[in-house]
Amino acid sequence: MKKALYFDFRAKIVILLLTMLLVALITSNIVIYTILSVLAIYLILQGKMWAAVKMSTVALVAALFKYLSFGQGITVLMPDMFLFIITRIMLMLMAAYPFMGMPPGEAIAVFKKMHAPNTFALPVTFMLRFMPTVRGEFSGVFAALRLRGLLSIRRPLRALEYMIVPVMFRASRISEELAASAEARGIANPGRHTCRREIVFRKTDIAVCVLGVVFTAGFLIWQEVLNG
Amino acid sequence: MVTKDKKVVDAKGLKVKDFATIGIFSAIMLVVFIAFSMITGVSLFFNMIFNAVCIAFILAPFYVYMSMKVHKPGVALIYNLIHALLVGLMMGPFMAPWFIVGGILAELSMVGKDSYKNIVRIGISWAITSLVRATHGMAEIWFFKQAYMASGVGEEQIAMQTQYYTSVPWVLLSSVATVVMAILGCMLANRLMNKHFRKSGLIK
Repeated sequence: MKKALYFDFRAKIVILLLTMLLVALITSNIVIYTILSVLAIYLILQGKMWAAVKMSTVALVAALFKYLSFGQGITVLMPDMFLFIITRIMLMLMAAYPFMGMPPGEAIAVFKKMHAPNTFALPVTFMLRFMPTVRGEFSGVFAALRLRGLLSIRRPLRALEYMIVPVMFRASRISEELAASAEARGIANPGRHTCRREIVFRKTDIAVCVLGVVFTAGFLIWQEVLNG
Repeated sequence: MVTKDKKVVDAKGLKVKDFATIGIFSAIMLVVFIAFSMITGVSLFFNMIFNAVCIAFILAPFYVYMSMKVHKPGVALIYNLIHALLVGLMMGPFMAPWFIVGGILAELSMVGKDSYKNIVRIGISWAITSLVRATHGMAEIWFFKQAYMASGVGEEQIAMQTQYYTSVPWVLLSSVATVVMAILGCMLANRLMNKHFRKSGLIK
């Protein structure tokens, strides 16, 4: 099996911004699904095959419903807008996925290099680190509640309390642990920061950015041609 | 550079553990928001009128805990900036300024000493944040209709949004219900803080 490609944080930002532009401007279905395929390849190249398959499947199921309903949505229970939102969210998630779970040290080193203010960079870094585990936190609590028969809709407020309090306790403990770990590594040190991973904008990063711009321009032109 | 960096971390009193709390609680709130919106998104009417109302109630405990735990200026603004960034990414950049302005207003409502320990002040800031979230769909129609239409939304959808979001009774219902539920959510959150978190010493 081939080794997964590693792209620099800044190259991933360029791809994310280009996707954001396309999601805001592209209206043609055929172009949207081609962008979806390109993003799936982008994820697979980074060794995120499973994520690419999952997100593409969700978007394609939405496309199937859209096709079957002739763009009218499946009754009031699944309006066209819902299918439209699902497809677009999947596109953005595919472009954003490579950021999830990035080591905080690496994210901080890149933010420092970009001269991003700490007020913004630090919370975003912790958020990126924690995001992939949120689902696990909730599913653990749900499993425990189900086991004890406490998950009931008869008492919604109590159920809500049972759900959110353990998650908040755990999140609070995790935030303290992550902060302590980051402090121990000198995150608050006002001096020059170094990172174990070399933060360099390589040729592969330049290539992925150039390809991103070329594809974006191509998709916009294609959209114009389709619109006549 | 060294002095400037130190200033950024220390000037407003926010420490690394505060940033960690804000980041992690923002992540939880975001995931709950997306999951809830995807479930309720199956009904366009519910999504337009009542999604923000329910979110204002469900997320209130997380916001109150985050504010009371950090209890320093900047929490409301940073949370709203993160939300603006994500909204910009998900829905197009034209909506980000709406949330940035909302964040500034929410932070301004917290001006004063110890406001981040005062549940009434936190409630006001959360009500502003929730109201901004509730009215963003309306703003798309009121102020950014051209940009919104250019993003490929169906004509039927635009027509439905215009029908509800230009109707005073529906706009009032959604806005008032959001503020009421935000306040009720904060009251519930305050009870939870007293019952669980103050006793355990996690917040003071």
